[in-house]
Amino acid sequence: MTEDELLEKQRKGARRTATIVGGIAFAIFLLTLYLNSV
Amino acid sequence: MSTTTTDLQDEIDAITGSHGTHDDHHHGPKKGLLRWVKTTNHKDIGTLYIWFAFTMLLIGGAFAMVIRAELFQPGLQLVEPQFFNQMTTLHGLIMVFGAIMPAFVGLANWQIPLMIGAKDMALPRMNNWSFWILPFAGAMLLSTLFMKGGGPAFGWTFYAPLSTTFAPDSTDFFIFAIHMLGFSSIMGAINIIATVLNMRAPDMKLMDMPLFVWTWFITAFLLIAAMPVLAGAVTMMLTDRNFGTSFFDAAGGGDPVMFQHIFWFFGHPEVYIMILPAFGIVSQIIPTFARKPLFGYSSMVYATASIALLSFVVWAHHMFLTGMPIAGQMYFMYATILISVPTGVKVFNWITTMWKGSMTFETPMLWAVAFVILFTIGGFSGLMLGIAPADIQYHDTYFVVAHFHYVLVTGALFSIIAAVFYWLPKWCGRMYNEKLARIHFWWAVISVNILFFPQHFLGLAGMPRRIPDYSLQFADFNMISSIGGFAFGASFILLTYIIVDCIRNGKRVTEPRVWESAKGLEWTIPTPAPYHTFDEPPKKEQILKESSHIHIEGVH
Repeated sequence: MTEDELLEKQRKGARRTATIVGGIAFAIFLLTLYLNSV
Repeated sequence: MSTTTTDLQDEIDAITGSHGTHDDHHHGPKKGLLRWVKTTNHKDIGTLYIWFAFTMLLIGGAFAMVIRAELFQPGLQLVEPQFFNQMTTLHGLIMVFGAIMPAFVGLANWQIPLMIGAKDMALPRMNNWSFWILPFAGAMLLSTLFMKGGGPAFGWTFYAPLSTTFAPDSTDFFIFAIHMLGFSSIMGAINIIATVLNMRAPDMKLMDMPLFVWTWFITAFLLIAAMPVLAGAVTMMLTDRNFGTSFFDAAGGGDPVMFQHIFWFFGHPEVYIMILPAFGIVSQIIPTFARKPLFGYSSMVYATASIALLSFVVWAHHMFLTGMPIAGQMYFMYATILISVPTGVKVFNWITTMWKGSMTFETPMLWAVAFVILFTIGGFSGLMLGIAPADIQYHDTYFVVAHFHYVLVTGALFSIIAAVFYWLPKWCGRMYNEKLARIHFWWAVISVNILFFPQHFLGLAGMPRRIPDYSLQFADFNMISSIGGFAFGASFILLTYIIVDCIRNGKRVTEPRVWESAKGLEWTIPTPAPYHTFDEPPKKEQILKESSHIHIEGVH
């Protein structure tokens, strides 16, 4: 794997990880509000 | 495409075509103030975080001096009770959110890419944003002191209804500041998780990672799970205060005790957010100066993960006196005590690493050993507080204050100081003044015990926390504690001098391995650390050779 290919792979993985983890954080925020609203 | 000295962000832009031209590959840091505003370099951002944390530490420390000066003698001496409450509140908030957490994030920024053979953090622009939120949030929090009605005075736990119905107008600024600080922490955590999972050298497996990286990786998950709950709590406070909701208002059908549950569901993991990276730091330093591989590496990893999981199921031990059912008290008591098992594993492993080692006591090691001893004292008093029937006596007394200061000052803060002395020569290519650093260590370690140890006795004798005045029988220990406090506070003047003197005038260090027996990829790069590192990811052989927990025969 060339250096560029490695960087591209890392970047794709980082975006995917950040989206998933950020989504989880946002879901926990919404869940906190929801559980206190019902 | 040349990739020898480019920013990771530049390379990303080049690959994705964000930049039309890309002729600035061979650059070092930019010049001037804008370098620091626009930087996406993990080392620059790490430096910014650490200086910000140090500034906030001095401000929070100044507030502590006001508190100890007022408590020097019984009676009201220097400040009004309302201002005293603002000082205790802002001292706690500034130290937790402004000093300890950013300092650890700064260390993570500097060290994690270097320790896993990565060029930079995974999301460099978000990294810049994470940092630059902080000064504005911190300034907003501090600005509340100058507002009508004063700053928040309800304690760092901001229990409702003190923080809702009875709070000053400035509380809305406090809420916004907490939102911003939390947002910054979540972005920092996302970055660390993405970096560890995606940017590691291809040949580095998870169980090859240094303990500091592991502890931060686990801490990042704690942040992801805990900070949104805090954000939810302050959002509900905001709507209760301004939009007519009654989440925490009993008169409107809400429940103030629910606030405590939500706060401590965040608050207890928060304690571990501030101590797990400290465990990682100590696990890096002790093998270096004991000249032995870390004992029980995998058990350290599993113990860290166990502590992190348990931290989410023990929150109500902060609430034994809220009228919880006995079964609930029993559960939270036993679950709390269970945390001492993985924590004990860690302390055992540090001691066993030192056992029969060729130990020397350079400054980082002094701080690390002090951490092990004094953090354990904080752990023991935590066990005492975790026992539900005993907590009825200890709750809301100075015993609690002594406990968490042993954990957070002689624990978290000591580990940060240890880390700075350990890695500073690598960062700036200069060695600190060892003699002055040792004088500072002994000054600080003696004074901090004079400051906090008598507070155990005050608490056991029944002195409540968060009061500006007290009964005469508490006078002697308070005076001793205040003297220790002033001495400990003054020690930071010397620390500031040592750090600045090191950076400006310290003896030059050029050996990559600043400490002769240090292991880790960060010690394979030149000293001082170049602006860009690991253009070529390290190979498996080098990763194993530099492992601080694997002993390879014949390789030293």
